[in-house]
This record gives sequence, C-alpha cells and structure tokens, in this order.
Amino acid sequence: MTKQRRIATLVILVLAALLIGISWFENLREYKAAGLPASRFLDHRIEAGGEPGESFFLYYAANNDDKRVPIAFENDALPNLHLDPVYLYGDYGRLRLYRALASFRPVDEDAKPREEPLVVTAMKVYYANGDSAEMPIGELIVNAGAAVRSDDTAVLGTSKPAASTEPGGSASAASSLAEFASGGASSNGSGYGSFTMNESATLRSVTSAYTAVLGDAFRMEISVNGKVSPLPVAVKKGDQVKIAYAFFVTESSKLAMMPLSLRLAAELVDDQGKTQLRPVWAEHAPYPTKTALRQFAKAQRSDTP
Amino acid sequence: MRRSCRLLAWGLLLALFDFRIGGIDLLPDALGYLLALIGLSRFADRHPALRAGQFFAAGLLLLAVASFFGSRGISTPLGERDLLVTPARLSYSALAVALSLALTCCLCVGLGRLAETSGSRALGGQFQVLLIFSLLHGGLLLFLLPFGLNGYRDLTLGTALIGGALGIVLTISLIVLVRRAGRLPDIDAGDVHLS
Repeated sequence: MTKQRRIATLVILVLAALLIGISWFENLREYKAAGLPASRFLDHRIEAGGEPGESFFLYYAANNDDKRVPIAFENDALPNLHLDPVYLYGDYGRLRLYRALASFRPVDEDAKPREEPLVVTAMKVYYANGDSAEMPIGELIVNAGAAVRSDDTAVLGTSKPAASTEPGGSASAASSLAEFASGGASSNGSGYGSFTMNESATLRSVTSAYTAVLGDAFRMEISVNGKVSPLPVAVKKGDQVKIAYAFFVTESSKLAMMPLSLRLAAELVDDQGKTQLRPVWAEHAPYPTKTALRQFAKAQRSDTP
Repeated sequence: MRRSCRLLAWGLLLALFDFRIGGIDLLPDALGYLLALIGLSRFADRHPALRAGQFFAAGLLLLAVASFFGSRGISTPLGERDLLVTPARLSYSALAVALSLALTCCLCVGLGRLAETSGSRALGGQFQVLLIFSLLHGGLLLFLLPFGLNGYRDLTLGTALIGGALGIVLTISLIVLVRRAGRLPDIDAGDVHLS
C-alpha cells in the first residue's frame, strides 16, 4: 500500500468515524430534549354540562421508557363520570400519549342536584405496577345542572337544573326554544353546530369560559339562515342558527398540546324574558408533531425545579 | 490451519443463525464465538491483525454471554414484548456491531495477507473486497442505529434491513473465504508480518 493510499484510507476512516459520532451525538441530544422530567396529564381545558351522554377525552403523556404505565383514571368528585380504561393513543418515539374516554352517565334520581359549577383540577391515576397517584389535569369545569333560568343576571352554569335533559342540549325538548339540527368538526380545528328555532327569541350572546383565554387562537361566526349576523339578533320560529368555529393553533404554540373542549353556550331569551342556553361543543385534540412535542417537553423541563 | 479455519468458520456460522424453540436459542451466539475464538487462537500468531482479532472475538463472546443471561426486554402491562429503543439497548447493539466489524476486518486483513503470501492473490483480493463492503456495511449501520431513538421509522427499518440481510450475506461470504483460506496448501509456511 502506497503512502498516499494509506493517507486517503485514513482520511476516509476518520471522516466516517466523525459522521458516526455526529449521528450519535445529535440523536442522543434530540432524545434527551424530547423527554419529560415526569409523566403527566396534558394541560386540559374542558367545559362540560355533566349531561348523560356527554363525553371528552383525557390525555396523559409519559416517556416511552417509563415503567409506570397508566391503566385507569378516577375522580371521586364526579360519581356520574365514567372513565373507560386507558389506552395507548400514540407512540411518538420518545413520548407516548395515552388516552381515556370520559363520559357522563345518568345521575341517581335521589342525587342532590349541584347548584354551583364544579372545577376539577386533578385525577387519580392507577398504574400497571400497582402504584397510584393524584395528578393535575389542568381544568375541567362541570356546569351546574341544566340551562333553564328565569332571570338574565345569572352567570353561565350556575342555573338550577331543568326537569329533564337531552344529550347535546340542556333544556327539555318540550320547553326548548331550539333543537339540535346538525354539527360537525374537521381535523383542521374547525367545526360547527346548528340548531333550529322552535319559537321566536333573541340570540343574545355565545360564550364559553375559555374564549377569553384562547384569544386569537379561537374564532367563531354566528349566522342565521346562512347570513352572518352580529349579536344580539332576533330569530324567528323555524330559523336555523349556525355557530361555526375554528381553532388557530400553530405547532409551536403551547396550545398545540392542550386538549380543549369548549361548551359554546348560545344564550336565547324568549318573549317572556326567560333565558335558555343552547350548547355547541367545540373541541381541539392535541396535535403532536415533533415540534409540538419538543416544545411541550421543553416547557415541562423549565417548569420543573 | 485447515481444522482451525474450519472451527472458526463453524463458530461464525453458529453466531450468525438463531434456532429458537420456546424462546430458547439452541444455537447460542456465545457457543459460536467460543468456537471462533478457539479456532482463531490456533493461528493468531501468524499475523498481528489475527492476534488483534482474538480480542474482538473475546469481546463478542462476553457480550453474547451477557446477552444470554441478562434480560434485554421490558414487558408492557399487557404482557406483550416491548421493542423499546433506549440508549442502553442501542449502545449494546452498537458495541456488538463495532466488535463484529473489527473482527471481520482483522480476519480479512490477516487471512488476506496470509493468502497472498501463500501465492493466492485472488483470495487475497476477495478478502480485500469483503473488507471494503464490511466497512461500508458496518459504518452505515453504526451511522443509522441512533436514529431509532427518535422514532425515524424509515431509517430504523433501513437499519434493520441493512443489518439483517446484508449482514448475513457478508458473514456467509466471510465464512466461505475463511474455509478457502484454510485449504491453501502453503498457508502454514512461516510468520507473516503486516507490511
């Protein structure tokens, strides 16, 4: 082997070793950057009416090598909230997302109706290895009772429950000012809900506990019979009211990993001054891109002392 | 030399293939590397590269024993075997690849030189070609392996294909060449030093 050939071979081997070293260094760095300091629930913002049939998802994030794998969630404060077993929602390399469906069941007839909204901030997590821990979930607001109220000074969700409820609505079908017509949602964060008026009324407002928090990341548009209408707007019997919404969440935003379930309450006031709230649900599921996951993990690390 | 090369070839073959019944490998890698080490040690003094090869074979033997007794799997709550990629597991794989590559290189250089000295330039050339392909294969594998940590599934699949299919082809080629080297009539003649 000539000297020149030896030098060329050596240079090639050194370059190859360098490339291999860079590959390991960068991948280990990325692996470390994507890891959570501890497993946890995602930061939820959920509004619920607590009516039978109403459901939402709870998300739990853990590192892929975490031996404490969640199998069940539980909350004693909500006896009519049924939680399905936890399952693996997505495997994103370093991180795993688990999910469980939570749904409200009918309450016992002798159960005392709740007159104040309940704010749940933690859930008990049961793990496969027998451990359990109470962990923060963000915020779950369960509105009190149904939506019929007799005065217009009451705050959303503090009204007394109605005699009967229907899934997707809060007032009984017999006395309801409006009834559900259609609804839909897209994976791009947009959706709509519409209802048909049973009586003439004034649509005064559409509110949610979280619209102010979301700011520009959430927009909605109200239209009556296909025509965009500013509020308040008078609606007649047979009119179709559509509430279209869209979440504008970038993958680097903190909201990208925040499960959101908004209960957009359309406030309808009839001719006698009685108010009914017609809910439309707007949901945003976490969109775990690599960037979103990295931001999420980074935020957790910076929050951990 | 003929018997030693045969022992070395059988050792490499045993280490290459797994034959599992009820989860137990009836052809344990450790046994393969032990045979390879015994075979190699009988003619390792013929060339510095072969002497160095002994250490790599011994390293692979230790790694195989550790793998045989140590549990590398983490079971999930559902009982399914979890094919989790962790830095520790990748380091183990990388060490195995590096040692295996080093052993192949030592055998190619040492036996190739012995073959050339004994007059078989063709066999020497074949060892050289195998050396180049082994270096490419091992280098690429070592480069791709860590991508498995971060869920680059295509690259991980590529790594598995390269590590599996091409690795088998190269090892079988090495076994064939080792057997041929053992059959050379003049290979026992004197010590040869790397020039």
